[in-house]
Amino acid sequence: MRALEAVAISVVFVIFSAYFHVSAVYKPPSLHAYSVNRALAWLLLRSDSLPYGGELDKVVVDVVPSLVYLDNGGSLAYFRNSTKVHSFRAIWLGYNGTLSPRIVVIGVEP
Amino acid sequence: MNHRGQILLLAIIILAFTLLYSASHFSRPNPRFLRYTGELQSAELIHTARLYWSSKKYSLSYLLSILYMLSNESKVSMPIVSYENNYTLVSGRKGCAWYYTVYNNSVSFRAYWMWEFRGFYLKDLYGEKLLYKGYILVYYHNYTAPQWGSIIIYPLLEDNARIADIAYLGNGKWSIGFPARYTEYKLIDEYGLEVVIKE
Repeated sequence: MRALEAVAISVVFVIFSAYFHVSAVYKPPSLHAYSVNRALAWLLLRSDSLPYGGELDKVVVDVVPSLVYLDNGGSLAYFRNSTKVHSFRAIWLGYNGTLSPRIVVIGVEP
Repeated sequence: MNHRGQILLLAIIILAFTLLYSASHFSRPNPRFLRYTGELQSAELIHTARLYWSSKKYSLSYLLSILYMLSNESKVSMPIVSYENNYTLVSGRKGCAWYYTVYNNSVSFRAYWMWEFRGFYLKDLYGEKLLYKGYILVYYHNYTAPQWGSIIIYPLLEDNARIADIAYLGNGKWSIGFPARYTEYKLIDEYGLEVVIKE
C-alpha cells in the first residue's frame, strides 16, 4: 500500500513538472509579438530607405505605440522607461539598388 | 513509504524548488529575442527581391547570403529558400512588362506595368515646339505571402532625365509623355526599379 502511495506521489510530481515546464518554456508568442512583427513587415514592405533618412523614429512610434527603445544601426533612442522589454529585429539590406545593410532593433513593452 | 519517508520526499522537492529559484537570481540577465516566423520573414524576402531588381549589380543569391548572415548574427530566424526570377517585356504601342521573383515558400514579388499609346501632342519647350508621344501607364507592385495573401501598392514614378511629362491619375494609373523620337523610355520608381516603355 505504501509503495502504491509513493508511486502515486511520483506520478503526480512528474505530471506537475512536465506541465510546469511546458507552460513556462514553450509559451506561444503573445499578441504583441504578432502585432510588432506585422508592423515591422509593413515598414519593410513600404520603404527601402526608411532607416537611412531621419524619419524612422516618427514612423515606428506611429505604428508601435508600446515602443520603449529604437536602435537604428547603433544609434539608440529611448522613448519611455520599462522594466520588461521584448526586442524585435529587422534587416534592411539597402535602397535604390545600393547595398547598405542596416539592422534595426525595437524594444517593446508587452 | 513510511510517514518520515513522505516528509523527507516533500522536503527534498521543496529544497529543489528553492535551490532552482535561488539559482535563477544568480544567472546573468540574457536578452531574449522572440522567435516568430511569419510576416517579417516574408517581408525580408520581398525586400531582398525588390533590391535585386533595382540593383542589377548583385545576384539574388548574393543578397540572400548577406540576409542569412545578418539574420544569423541578429537571431532573426529566416527560412532557407530557393527562388525563380523572370523579367519579361512585350513591346508595342500597347505593351506590358514585369519583374517577378517567386520563392519556394509561396512568397513572391512582382512589379508589373502596362502601357497604351494615346496619341501625339506638341509641347512648347523654351520657345521650341517638340512632338511628344502620350501614353497611359498602369504600374503596381504585388507582394504575395501566405500570411497576408496579396498586397498591391502603387509606387511613385520619376524621370531622371526630367524631359518627360508625368502625371498621376490615381490607382496606379499614370499619364506619360516623352519626345516622339524615342522608341524606348525609362522611368524609375521610388525603389529604384526601371520602368521601360518600349514600342
